[in-house]
Amino acid sequence: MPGLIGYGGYVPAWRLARKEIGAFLGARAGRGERSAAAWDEDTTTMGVAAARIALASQTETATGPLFFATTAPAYLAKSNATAVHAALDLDPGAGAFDLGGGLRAGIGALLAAHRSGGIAVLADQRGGPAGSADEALGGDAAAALVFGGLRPVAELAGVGHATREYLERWQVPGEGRVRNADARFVDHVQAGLIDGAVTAALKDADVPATDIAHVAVAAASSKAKAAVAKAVGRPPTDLADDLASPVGFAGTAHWALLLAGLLDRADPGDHLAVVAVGEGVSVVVFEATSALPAYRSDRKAPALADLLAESTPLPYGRYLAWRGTLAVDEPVRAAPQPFSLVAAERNARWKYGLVDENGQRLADEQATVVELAVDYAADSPALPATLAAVEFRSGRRLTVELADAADVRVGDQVEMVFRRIRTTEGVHDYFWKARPIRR
Amino acid sequence: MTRHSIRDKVAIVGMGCTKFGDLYDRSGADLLTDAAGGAFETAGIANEDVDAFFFGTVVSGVSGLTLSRALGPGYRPVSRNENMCATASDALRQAAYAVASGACDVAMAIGMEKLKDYQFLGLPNAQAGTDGTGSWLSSPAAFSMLVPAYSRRYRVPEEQIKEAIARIAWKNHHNGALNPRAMFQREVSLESICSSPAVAGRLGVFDCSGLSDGAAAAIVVPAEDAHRYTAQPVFLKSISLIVGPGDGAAHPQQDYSTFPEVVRCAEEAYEHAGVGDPRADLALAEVHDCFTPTELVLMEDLGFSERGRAWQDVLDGCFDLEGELPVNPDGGLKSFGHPIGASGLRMVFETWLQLRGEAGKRQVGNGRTRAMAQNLGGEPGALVCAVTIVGSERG
Repeated sequence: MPGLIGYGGYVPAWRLARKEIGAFLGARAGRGERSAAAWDEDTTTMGVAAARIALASQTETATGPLFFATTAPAYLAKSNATAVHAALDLDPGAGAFDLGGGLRAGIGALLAAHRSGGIAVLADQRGGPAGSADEALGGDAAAALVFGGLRPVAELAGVGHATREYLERWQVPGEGRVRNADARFVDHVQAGLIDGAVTAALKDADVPATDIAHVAVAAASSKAKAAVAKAVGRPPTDLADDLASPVGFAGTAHWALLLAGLLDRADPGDHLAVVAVGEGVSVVVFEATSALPAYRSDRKAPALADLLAESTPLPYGRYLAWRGTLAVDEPVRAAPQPFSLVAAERNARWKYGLVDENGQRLADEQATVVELAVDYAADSPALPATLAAVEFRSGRRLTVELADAADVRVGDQVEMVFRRIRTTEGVHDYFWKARPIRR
Repeated sequence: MTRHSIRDKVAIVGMGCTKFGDLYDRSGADLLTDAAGGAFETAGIANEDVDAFFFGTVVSGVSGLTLSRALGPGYRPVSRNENMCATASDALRQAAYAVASGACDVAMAIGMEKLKDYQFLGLPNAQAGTDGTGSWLSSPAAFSMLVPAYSRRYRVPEEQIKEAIARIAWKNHHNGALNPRAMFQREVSLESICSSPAVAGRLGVFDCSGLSDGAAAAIVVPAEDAHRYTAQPVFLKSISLIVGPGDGAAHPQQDYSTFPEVVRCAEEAYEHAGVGDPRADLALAEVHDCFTPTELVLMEDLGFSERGRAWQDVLDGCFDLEGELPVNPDGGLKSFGHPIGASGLRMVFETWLQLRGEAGKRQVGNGRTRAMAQNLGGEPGALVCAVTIVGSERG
């Protein structure tokens, strides 16, 4: 069976401090922070970001199908996996499939990718009405796991599930609102499922609980930790950091984000267990191999800890405007028209993959800022927009918007990131932006 | 490069120009009628005497019907063209070639834009029909890149450039205050200019010209017939159009401190017109001051200033109304306003008035007999440029 040959976790740089929510709404303040996708990010773009991290450092080239899982898809009734596939410039012969619907999707993507030697890309964006628990405790993040043949850095040693039909959090198509069941009811159901799933996973991995080096719990509710601690026989304080701050619960991607964090610390031979609680429980047990330390030291992309450390405060008002919760006045502008679907398909490799006419994938190259334009007249929800003429090593230039731009100067180095430029008449316009390299 | 010069083959014998501005009460047809009327009157002809029309507009019309409906009576050739901000210059060029070819005895070039009917800020959206990957740089942002590029290339501090471009804004408003057709007819102080809200980069509100409504027209005839229409025709010395490859954004050598399209267009225009030293030969120049740093760079690209020296020449007043070479004596795009499809002909209208001694308080009196109108459209790295040189004398 294929093993894990690459992994990556992605967290957006923006952080919403929970006490700001409290201060703004005159309610009780929470503690810590949650991650927030930028106005030009969505689950597709975050999935791409995580997958690029995983693929940049994979020990061999993944060739299998791509499985994309999210509960907050950019498009309903349209594949988002194909957009992720295109942005990664994967082989047209490799399949790309969406898993969605609920929190189980991410585990489904794992099992499918593992079985077929492919790539599982998980992304989620969690929020809710202003002042809701979903908003305060949710997080936006993505993770990717790549499976292949020869030199795995970890093996999937075992899985265990407890499946049950119950309503926890749900949305009916055509309705804007997401509904939640009573939290204590949900905790009660989950507490009843955790032990069975943990036991099944340990049995499948043929590892006793005491031999698991690190246990992490991905759950919306903090009560799940206590149940897991009991199931594995260790105090809750011994469980790994669940990233409730600075990320929050990132839906179907959260367990994989925690796994990435554990893999970054594990020693060869360590067993790592991640308990994914939500609409049922699944437990995955991985075993780190001797190839893992070299993978970490050789990696060509940031580690999760690097991204967690990049923290830009996001005022709550702006978060609300970005999420569309707050209606913001717009200047009277020429109505943007969607790009031509035909021209975009013709140029799909450039538009999504940033592969130029010479077959060069500019997306993987760094560039230098040659000229800057800070634009207060741009048609953008985040003014001023910063645009830059950037030059790649080949000499080729591109004029692009700068993403998450702060203090940028001519001469700075940038890397390319995949973002959603705008949405016009229900059509998402994806392309690449440049982002200053801060690490 | 156009192979043959049409120097002194064609003359402008009538011109009209409406007031420019936010003309909410006037339709496109009203503006066309007004501008054409002025041209007919000054040429002493009637609508029926025109053999062919060359109508330029960017967004304010479709086909020649827009003009035909406005002017009547119809059943004549009306070519409609668009070439971004150089539209009206291109219309004039086509009218001139029609006459020079011998196919027409009387042609009208007319440009019109009714932007205020669209009710939005800025220029119309250009992404429709593309794959959505084109740059979303706004026009001010694109031209704002001239400032740091010029500063780095010539090692002139940006503050110094800011001073020079503020002076350009002040000059053009000063000139526009003397122009009854201009959109803005008030002087603006340097303090107001320097403290205006940021629009893009180092550019503030007063560094940007205002889009507006307006129309302008010219009647063009063979040079040997000119005396039949007016005692003071204006002869076309050259009219050059250069469209760049449009690849500046991707080009490794793209230099945001100069416009190669303008340099080449001016070279050809000067050659065909026999202009050796523009600063000494020209009575005045109308140039495309869409943004103040654009005018600064144009001074060098058009050969009025040495490379790296335009900022100093501007501050020394060389291009003021009373200066050595008045630039934009009618107020330029800055204070006259910019109806995209009409501006090229508005520029020529000022050369027409000036060479005929009809510019009133703005009259330039340096005795020179040739003048230039330069018009560009697009953004740095992807420009179209037109240069028209006219003269009051043949030869």
